[in-house]
Amino acid sequence: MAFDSLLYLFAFLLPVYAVWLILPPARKWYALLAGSIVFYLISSPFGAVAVAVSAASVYACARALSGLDGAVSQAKGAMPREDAKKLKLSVKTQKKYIVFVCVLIQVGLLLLLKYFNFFASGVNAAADALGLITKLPELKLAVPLGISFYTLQAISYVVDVYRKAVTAERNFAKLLLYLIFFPTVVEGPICRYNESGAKLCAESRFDFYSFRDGVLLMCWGLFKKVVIANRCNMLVNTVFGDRGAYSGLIVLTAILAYTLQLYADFSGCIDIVRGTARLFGVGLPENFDAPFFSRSTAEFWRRWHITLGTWFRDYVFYPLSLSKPFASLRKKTAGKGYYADLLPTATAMFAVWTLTGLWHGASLKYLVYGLYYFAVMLLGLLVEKPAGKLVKDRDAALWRFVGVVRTFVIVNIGMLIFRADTLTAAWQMFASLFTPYAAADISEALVSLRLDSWDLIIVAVGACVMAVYSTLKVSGRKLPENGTLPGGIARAALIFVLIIAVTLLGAYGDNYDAASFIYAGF
Amino acid sequence: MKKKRIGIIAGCAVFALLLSLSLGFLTRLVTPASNRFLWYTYASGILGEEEDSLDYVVVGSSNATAGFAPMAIYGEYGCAGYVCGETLETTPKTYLRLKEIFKKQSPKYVIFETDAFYDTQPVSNAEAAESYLETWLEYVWKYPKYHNQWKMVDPKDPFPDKDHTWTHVYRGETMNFDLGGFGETRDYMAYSTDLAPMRATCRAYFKKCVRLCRENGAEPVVLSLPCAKYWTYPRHEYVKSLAQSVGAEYIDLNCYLDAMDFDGSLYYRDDGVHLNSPGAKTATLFFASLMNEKYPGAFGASSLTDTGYEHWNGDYQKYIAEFTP
Repeated sequence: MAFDSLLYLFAFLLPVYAVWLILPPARKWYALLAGSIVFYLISSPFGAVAVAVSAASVYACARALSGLDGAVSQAKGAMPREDAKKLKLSVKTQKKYIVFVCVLIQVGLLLLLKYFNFFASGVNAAADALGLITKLPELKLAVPLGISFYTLQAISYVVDVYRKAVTAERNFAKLLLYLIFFPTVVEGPICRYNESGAKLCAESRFDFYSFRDGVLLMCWGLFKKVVIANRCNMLVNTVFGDRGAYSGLIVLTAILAYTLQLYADFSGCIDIVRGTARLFGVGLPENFDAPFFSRSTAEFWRRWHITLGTWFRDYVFYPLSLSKPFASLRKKTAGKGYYADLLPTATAMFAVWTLTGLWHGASLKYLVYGLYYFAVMLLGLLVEKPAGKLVKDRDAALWRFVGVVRTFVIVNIGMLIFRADTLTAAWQMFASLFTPYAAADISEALVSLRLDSWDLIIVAVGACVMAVYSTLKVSGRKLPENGTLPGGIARAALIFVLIIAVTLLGAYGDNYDAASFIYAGF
Repeated sequence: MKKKRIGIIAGCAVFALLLSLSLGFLTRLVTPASNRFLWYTYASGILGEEEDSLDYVVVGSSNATAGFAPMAIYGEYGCAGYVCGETLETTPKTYLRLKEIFKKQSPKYVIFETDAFYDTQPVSNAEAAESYLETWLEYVWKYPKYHNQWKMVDPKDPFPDKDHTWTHVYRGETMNFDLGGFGETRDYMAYSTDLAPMRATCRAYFKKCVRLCRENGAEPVVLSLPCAKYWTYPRHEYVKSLAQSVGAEYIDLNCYLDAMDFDGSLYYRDDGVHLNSPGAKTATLFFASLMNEKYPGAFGASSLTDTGYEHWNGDYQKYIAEFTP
């Protein structure tokens, strides 16, 4: 059930909202839970079992961690200091085991349901090369909806309980709601329990201003998805689907169109998600912060899919960097020069980017996509020092501009790897960028794609609107998104214009091949 | 506080009013004036036919528009009909289409081609529900369907007069003389005790269609045109029992391939899904003869007026000319 579908908006969201309105403030979360369960069962009936196992294991482990913490605090006052210290150590070890088992279950489910066939094909290829007969079978498993998203939420929750950053939830239903809250389960944002868990189940009342801002955010998301992303999809699908047929200019246009499509699609979906949550009085974290204004790749990833980046930072990069093996590595490399100092960081980065790549999908191209960013960032670190000597004023306007353009080019190459069907396809398309450019090709290609000049104008204007919005955001201007746009009339006018734009200019219906939300596939 | 609340309610009311007016204006602006652009091109020609001039109407998917030849029946029996269908059409859409058709026509028979009873490509329940919702919305509110027509609006005459006079020369049939290279085989109708049930919604809408037909004085007939790729004996058995349950005649031409001397290598335009025009002519005339045997005069006297005959005769000559090498 796509968020831009009539089924979602009118046959699902509207009834859920009506029930939410009717229920008393303390019971409103029942509507969200019931809606989330129905949404999940409709969208991924077979995945419900995996979600149930995941939620039950996380719940049990978190309760066990909480129980151990409680036992320690009770025993603290009642036993000698030495014994209390021993108990604390033993409990710490037990807690580590519990977290380990819990993470193992979550990752195990993810590996089994999403990655088994990918690894099996790798093992089988190796077996073939070695002349072995025994092979791993190919499993026909339905990947549960949002498994990549709720697994990360589940892990973050149990680790946060371990770290005592959050209190273990006593009510299983509330934890389940945190994991499968219907707007976030498809494409995120990947929320922490202390960000959304408590808010989802808190006592709440209808607030007109939240409702209005939620509707505005949803309309803005629909505009990005239906007006811009869906239009780009037709060009992108055709060119990427027949990679050998197009020359440099068209391939370049398709790559740029895909970058625009992915941004409009993903950020549009997140806006719809955040808008939906806001209708229910729940604030969700932002996932994008004008990423194309980034001056470096590292900055880009701090502004693009923010919740994924921060998750890997908090639950992979930092724990790895602070682990004993890394501490000893750091000791060994300390004082041996700039490049030696980079080794521990580079090793942790390698792990993060390998996982980031694989998180997107069970395919070699996603692994390469992650490693591509690792290579780019490592290169950035390696040249940082010499570059620092060459360029004195890095905040100069020209240098800032060069940084933005450079990052944009790097990101587009990444998008090519990300979108191409295979690595070979990505390479062929990259190579075709250097074939002769013929301006006439593009008009012919556009006609064959059923895109007319109006479609191009709409995409261009839509992209400009998004760029203006991002510029305002970067410059710290008041925006409807953060609830600081002045005046009810201005907001109402914006909602009005967006509804008209989406319904009239939207690429949906008979003449268009609208795409599903891209990240819903992950 | 109370004043603020009244302000909010009044603001919302004004917003809703303005939005409704704007969308109403835009609906008027984008809805095509000519019936030619209202439905799938050939299907929408039925809206341009003279009132109460059609003796029968065929509804269904692309199998119907490819495989039923109204002009062949007209040439043979002088009976006027129209095949009104669209690619991937399903019974909910047929139901809404029939409601429109009955506003202007009073056919004696409504013939349901059975490809529309089944999903050609598997879809989930959610996708099917979405499709039904869209179909229904399309019927009650034209704006989403025609929204893209804003590109065609003539700034000099943005609201032209309604013109529902366009008709299709072959009465909905998509003429095609390709040979799909389909090998001759009749194995697909091998006997089986299995049944192939339809999606519950499709079944329910078929029954609604039957009720609608009878309310409008039309007798429903169920027809399966030859379709080697998708049609099966379990489907035949299921549709037979369904037709019996509503008291409708069922004719499955897949069971008469020998009787009508059907040659798959000559009569399919593709890999055994859609008939070409010679195949459509053969199948249609055989169907009409069967109907006339069972119900004498079923395809007989036409309801056309004198001017209507003139018009149809001219179009029939064009149809014949298509078969002339």
